[in-house]
Amino acid sequence: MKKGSLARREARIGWCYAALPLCGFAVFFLVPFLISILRSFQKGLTQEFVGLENYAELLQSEAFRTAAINTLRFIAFAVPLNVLIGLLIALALYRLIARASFFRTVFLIPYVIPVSATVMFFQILFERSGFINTVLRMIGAEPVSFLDSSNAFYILLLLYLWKNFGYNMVLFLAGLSRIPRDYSDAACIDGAGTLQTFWYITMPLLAPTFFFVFVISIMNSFKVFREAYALGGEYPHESIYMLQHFMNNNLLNLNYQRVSTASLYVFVVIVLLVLLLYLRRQKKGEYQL
Amino acid sequence: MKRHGVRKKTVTYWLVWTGCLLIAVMVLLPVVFTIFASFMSPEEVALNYGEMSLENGFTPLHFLPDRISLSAYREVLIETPRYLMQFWISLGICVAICVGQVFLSILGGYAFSRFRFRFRDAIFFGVIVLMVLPYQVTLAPSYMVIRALGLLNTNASLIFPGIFSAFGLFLMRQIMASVPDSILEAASLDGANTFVALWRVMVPCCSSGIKALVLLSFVDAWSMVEQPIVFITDAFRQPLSVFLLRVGKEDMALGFACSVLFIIPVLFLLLLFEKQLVEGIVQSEIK
Repeated sequence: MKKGSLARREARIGWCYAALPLCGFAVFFLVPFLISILRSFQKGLTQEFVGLENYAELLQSEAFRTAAINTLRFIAFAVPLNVLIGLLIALALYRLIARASFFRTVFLIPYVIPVSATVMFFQILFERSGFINTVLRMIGAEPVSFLDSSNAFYILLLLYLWKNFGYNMVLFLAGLSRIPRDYSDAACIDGAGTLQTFWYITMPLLAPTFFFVFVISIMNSFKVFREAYALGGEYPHESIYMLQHFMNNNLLNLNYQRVSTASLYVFVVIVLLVLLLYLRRQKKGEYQL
Repeated sequence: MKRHGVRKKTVTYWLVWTGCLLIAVMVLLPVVFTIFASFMSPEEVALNYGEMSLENGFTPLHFLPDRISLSAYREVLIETPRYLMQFWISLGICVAICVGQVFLSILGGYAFSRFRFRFRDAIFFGVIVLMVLPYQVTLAPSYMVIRALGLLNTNASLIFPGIFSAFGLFLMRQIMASVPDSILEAASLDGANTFVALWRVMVPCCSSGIKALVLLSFVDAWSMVEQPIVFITDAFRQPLSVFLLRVGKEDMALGFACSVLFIIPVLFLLLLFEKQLVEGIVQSEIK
C-alpha cells in the first residue's frame, strides 16, 4: 500500500520534469506532423479525402523524383565513405600518435565552422576560372567545369566529407576508449596480429558505436542542403537539387499537400533505414559476450 | 599508462603522422585562406578573385596580401553598423537556443533517467524517432505552427522550435543514466528534494556531458540555414549564417572580413570545450 503511493509520487514528479520538453515536442512537431499526415490524404482546396492520390501524383513529379534520387544517391555515397574515413583516422590517432589531441582539435574545426564562412573559398577554388582550373591550364590540361555540371555532386560529397569526418572520428575515439586494454593485450599474448586483433576484438566491441555513427552520419547527410544552398542558391545544378530544395519551393508556393506527402515519404524511408541498422546491430551484438 | 606505439617510433608512426599532417593542412586551408584574404584591400581582392579574374579566365595563385589592409574590418566593425548588429542579433538567437535547449534537455533527461512512470519507455522511443528525423520531415509541420502563431519573420520563429531538441534530451538521458544511484540516494538521505538533487548533484556529475551539448547545440544553431530561409522571408532579418551568403556575393572583401568575424565564436567554443566533447560522448554510450 505504502509502496504503491510512493511509486505514484515518483511517477508524478517524473511527469513534472518531462512535461515542459514533451509539450514543446507535441506543439512544434507531433501535432503538426499528425495534421500533415491527414493533409497528405486530402485534396488541396476542398479538403475531401482522396486516399493515396497525392502519393501517386508526387511520384509522377519530375522535380520530386530528381530530388529524391539525388538525396538517396548522396546518402549511399556519403555515409559509408564518411564512416570509413572517420574510423581509419580514429584508429590512426588512438594508438599510433603522440599529440593526438592537437590533431583531434584541428580535425573538428570544419565541423564547427558554418559553410557560409568558407563557401567563398570553395567557389574560388572550383569556379570555371578558379584555382584548380588555373593550375590545370598551367600544366596544359583542359579546364573542367565543376559547379555547373554533374560534377557538382562530387564537389558536394567532398564538402560533406571535409566537414563531417572529424565528428565521426570523435565518436569512434569515444568508442575505442571504452574498450578495455586487457582484451587486446590478451589477444597479443595469444599471438594475434594487429589485423586479427582489430577484426576479432575491436570491431565486435565497436558495434554499438557503429550504429550510433551510422545514424549520426545519415542525420548529417541531410544537412548537406546547407552546402548545396550556399554553392548553388535556390535553383542549383540538377545534380545537387536536394529534397530540401523541393520542400522549400513548394512551401513558399503554399503547396502543403505536396510538402506533407513528400515529408511522409522521407519519414517512412528514414524509419526503415534506422530500423534496419538497429536490427543489424542486434545481430552483431551477439558476438559481444 | 604508457602507450605501446608511441615508444618506438617506427616507419608506420611517421607515415601516419605525415598523413595526419596532410589532412590537417587540407582542413585548415579554407580557414587560413579566408583569414589572409580578409586582410587584403578591396582593390586587391577584386583584382585577384573578383571581376578581373573572371575576365581573364583565371585566378592568380595568390594567397598572401601584398600589403596588410584593415579597410574591410574598418567597414564591417565601425563604418557600417549593420554587420555588427546582425552579428549580435545572431549571437543572441544562438545563445537563447543553446541555453533553452540545455535547460530543457536537463529536465527531460532527469525525468527519463531517474523516474519510472507509465509509458516512459514508449515515449522515449518516440523521442529517438524524432531525433533521427531530418528537417525535411519536421520543417513543414513546424512552419504550419509558426504561421498559425503569427511568428513568421520574427526571431522567435527560430528560437522556439530550436530549443526543443530531441537530440539534447537523448544525450542528457544517456549521460544521466550513467551516474550511479548511490550518489543520488546520499543526497536524498541528506534531505535534498529531487530539484535540489538535480542542480546540486546531478548537474555537476554530468558537467562534461552538458558542455558537450552546449558545444553541439550552439554549433548547430550558428550554422542554421533550413529554418531561416523558410521562416524568415525578409532578407534583412535573416541571421548571419544566411545573410553572409549575400554579403559575399555583393562585396567579396567585406564577405571575407565578416566570415572571419563569424568563425570566431565557434572556434572559441571548440577550443574551450573540445576535451569535454569526447568525454561527454564516452559517458553517453554507457548504458
